[in-house]
Amino acid sequence: MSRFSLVKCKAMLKLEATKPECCTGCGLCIIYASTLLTDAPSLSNSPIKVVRTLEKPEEFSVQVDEAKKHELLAINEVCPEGVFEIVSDDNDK
Amino acid sequence: MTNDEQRTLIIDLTRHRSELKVHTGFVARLGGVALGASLFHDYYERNPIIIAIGPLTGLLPYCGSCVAHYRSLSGDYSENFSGGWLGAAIQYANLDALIIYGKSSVPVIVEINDTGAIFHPARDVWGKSPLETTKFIRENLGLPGKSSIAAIGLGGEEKLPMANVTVDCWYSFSGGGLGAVLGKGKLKGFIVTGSGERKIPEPIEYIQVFNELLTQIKSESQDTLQPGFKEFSSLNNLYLQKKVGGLPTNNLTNHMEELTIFNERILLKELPIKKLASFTNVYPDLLITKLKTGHFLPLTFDSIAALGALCGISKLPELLSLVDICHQLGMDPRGTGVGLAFIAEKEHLSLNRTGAAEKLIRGLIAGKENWAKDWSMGLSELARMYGDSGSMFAIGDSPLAPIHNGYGTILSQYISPSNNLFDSDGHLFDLSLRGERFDDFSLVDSLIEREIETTLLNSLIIDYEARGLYSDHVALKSVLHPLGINITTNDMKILGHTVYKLRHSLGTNNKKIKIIPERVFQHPSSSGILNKDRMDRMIKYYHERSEEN
Repeated sequence: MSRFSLVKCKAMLKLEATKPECCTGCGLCIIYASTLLTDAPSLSNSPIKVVRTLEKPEEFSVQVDEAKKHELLAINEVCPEGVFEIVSDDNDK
Repeated sequence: MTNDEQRTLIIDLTRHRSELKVHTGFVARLGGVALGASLFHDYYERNPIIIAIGPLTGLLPYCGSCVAHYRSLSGDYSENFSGGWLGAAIQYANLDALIIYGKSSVPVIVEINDTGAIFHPARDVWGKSPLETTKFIRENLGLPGKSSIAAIGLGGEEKLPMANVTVDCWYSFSGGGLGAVLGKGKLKGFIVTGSGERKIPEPIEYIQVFNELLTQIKSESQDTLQPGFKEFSSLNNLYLQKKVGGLPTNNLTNHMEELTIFNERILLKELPIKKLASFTNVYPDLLITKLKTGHFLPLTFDSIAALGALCGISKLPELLSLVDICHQLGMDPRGTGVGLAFIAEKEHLSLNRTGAAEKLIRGLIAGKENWAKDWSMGLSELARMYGDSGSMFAIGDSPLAPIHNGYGTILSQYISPSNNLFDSDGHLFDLSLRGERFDDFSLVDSLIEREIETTLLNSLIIDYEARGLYSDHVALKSVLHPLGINITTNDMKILGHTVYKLRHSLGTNNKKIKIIPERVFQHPSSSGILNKDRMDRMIKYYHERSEEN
């Protein structure tokens, strides 16, 4: 496989929050992701947002920045609850 | 050691003003309990509430809590921890501590960020539950995903001694009556928004340390967490205490044997459970359950053991209803359970009867009857009214944890100003002995050494669930290094000891004489009957050691 095809293959994978209902709100993904991309842990500058919903404060919504989703595959290993999955990005095919 | 400057935000409730101030000092450098105790000492005359975080808060696994230092309305110096996101929000607001003092003329909500505090009227939520207040604040203030909210309920507004402060709906500063202190200052709640970022001097090393810790925690072969915690959160203590016979029932007139419903496995099987984790806690540290009414409520060891076993409540619906009432009113299960159990014994009431406990709590809130007036002034006043301090399961106004394991359990609660049972290892010392003989002085020495070590870990704000992960000083050094904090193991020892002494002096400042209730010596602990003379000898030796330089 050429170097070009390897890069292309990687680019076709993305991180997706497929099971937000499993989120316990530990926030490890938030600080890990912000450090990966900016060298500085942050709630504000993180490409992953975990937000408590207004109507159901026992639940969390988990959002991954669309523009950064290909650079965050490592987060899949960080999350202890299996909220994320590495999936194929259909838009890149 | 670097990191010399601690950023604090002073919040003056009387003048509705705030001020950012840099704090320096050898002791405060460590953060957490060290910073909090140091600030409490410096602002002592203003009777402050200090809420402090540690240098690792919100940055590494199991470093998510924050600690409050304050004087309860009965005058006791208290330390109280809370999980949730509050510690992280303070960290990312580029603050190390909040210093709150004064009394507002009208109820207020304080909005806090990295530039200061804004005071908002709280008239719309005065009288509302902590959950309703949290929802109101979230709808109107702060930024989603970056904020944490603390609120009091009617318990705090009425300045009841068992009032707690609810954090992010489900967590709390529980025990020690912090809610009443906020209520006295007319502070209904506050929100902290962390919009900043934390500069890491060695980011690559930081990520390596993060990964190593995570791997170690996830590794089943490593005993880095409290046993059973991963599965049952704090309810795992039910199993442990039932196994050894250490769960006091009916105001410690007997031990829990017949109350079979209080089994962590049965509770988890019968109830719909949602697991929650404080910021950076890898595994959930709180279980909440949904009632038929639609309410969610937290299930903790204290709520089951103090409101259930200690009060002699054996019906699950009755217990859940009582936990719900306490949660809605913003009241600590332990303090409420100890008071209820005492009154039930004195008045020959069965709290198992539907609505009996609720009636007492409503009566307490109404504050019309004499017993309610006395209880609202503290557990010791309630005991005095009945002329029987010896039957109150408390040391002065501080309720004892709902366990009875032996000398270590009682002594560690006598020694520590912290309201967190698991801060001290006294009960673990008792359990490890398994009835074997031990030297009294060695027990005291051991508890003091552990208290000094715990002081160090609580200064760095490392959660008790993962003490095994950070207990080695050499490992601690490597964890602190990428954050730009260089500290020698000798510094750690000196600081641990210095802060311990400071906390001890703050704890004994009000010169109150602490008395261990007679009930503790009348009914067998899981290590057998305790001897009062022996306990007195240990306390005397503890005071002698604490006076040493």
